Amino acid sequence: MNCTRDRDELTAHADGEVRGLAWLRLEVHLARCGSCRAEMAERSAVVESQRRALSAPVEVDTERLLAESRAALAALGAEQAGSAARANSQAPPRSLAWVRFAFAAASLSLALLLGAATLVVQSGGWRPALVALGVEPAPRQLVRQADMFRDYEIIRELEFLEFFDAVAETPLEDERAAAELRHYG
Amino acid sequence: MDPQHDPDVQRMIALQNGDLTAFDFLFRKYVPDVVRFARRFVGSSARAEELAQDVFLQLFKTRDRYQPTARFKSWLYRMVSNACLSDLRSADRRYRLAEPAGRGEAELGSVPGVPESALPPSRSSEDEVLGEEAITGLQQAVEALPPQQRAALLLNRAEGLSYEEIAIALDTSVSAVKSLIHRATVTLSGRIAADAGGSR
Repeated sequence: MNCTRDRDELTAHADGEVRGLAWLRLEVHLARCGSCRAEMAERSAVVESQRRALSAPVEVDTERLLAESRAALAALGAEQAGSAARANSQAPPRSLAWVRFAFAAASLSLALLLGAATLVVQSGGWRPALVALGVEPAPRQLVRQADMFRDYEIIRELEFLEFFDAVAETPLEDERAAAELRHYG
Repeated sequence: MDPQHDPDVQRMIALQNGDLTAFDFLFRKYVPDVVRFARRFVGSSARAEELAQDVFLQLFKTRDRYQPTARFKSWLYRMVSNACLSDLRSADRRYRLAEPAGRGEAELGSVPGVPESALPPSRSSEDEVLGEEAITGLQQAVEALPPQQRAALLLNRAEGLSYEEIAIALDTSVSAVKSLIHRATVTLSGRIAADAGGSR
């Protein structure tokens, strides 16, 4: 045992907390070292005096404290019961809650149905609607490019012809133009 | 000791299962010691009683979460130590300030057979008042210790917990407890000797 390092071993020894080999080593050291032996005796006396003084019972009215604690627990229980009752009174009755749930589910179903019907009408048939809803796969190519450009040329020709017809069928209202037509005609 | 073999652990489990008589039993058995520990720790009888009641209310409220991992006494003193340390940290010291000086002296003054080594050498054997003063000095010296040292010392000297049980109660190691108690013992002894020298 190192005298300067292990002074706390003496306190632990006085508390009966040194056991086994550590206890044996300390006892051997105390047998050889008069200084530590004297300190050990002093430490034991100090520890014993502290134990006696500090462990002396204090006056406690146990039954009064128990009664007060029971009252506090009862108050706590009443408060918790009151909170639970308030929470229950604010919540709707179970039957009404089911009605509300059913109404919400029906409203949602109706909205989905109307949405699907609108989609069908606007897209002109079931197939686009089914494609939009993901039930059927989308066509790989809606219009081939060659057809598209062919159609574009036809449309341009039609527009031109319509314009020509419009000019031909327009009645001449101008008097001079009418006189010229009669003169050359 | 296996916690499952501690009869008070079994009572705590019974309380968990709704046996309210187990609460009464544990309260009656432990509240005097808990009040004593708190009294030595905070220095006020009224506050000590409040703390003890708070601890048992907390025990009741948290009974569902109780896990029998240690002896009931170690677990209980963990709650008590925490309550006392929290109380010390809080600014609410009105009970202590309001309590008339001398009440603690009267309580400690009734301790029989305090050896000379814990008391001032000037103590007169025929003067009981001087003895009370000396014991009050011990209480004041305990209150002047740092909180962790105070808790460790009181758990050992006042409540008889082993170093291992104190380590559980204070959530620290046994070697730390050994150091705390040694320093507290030396400080206390030196302070009392100094007071004795001053009063001589």
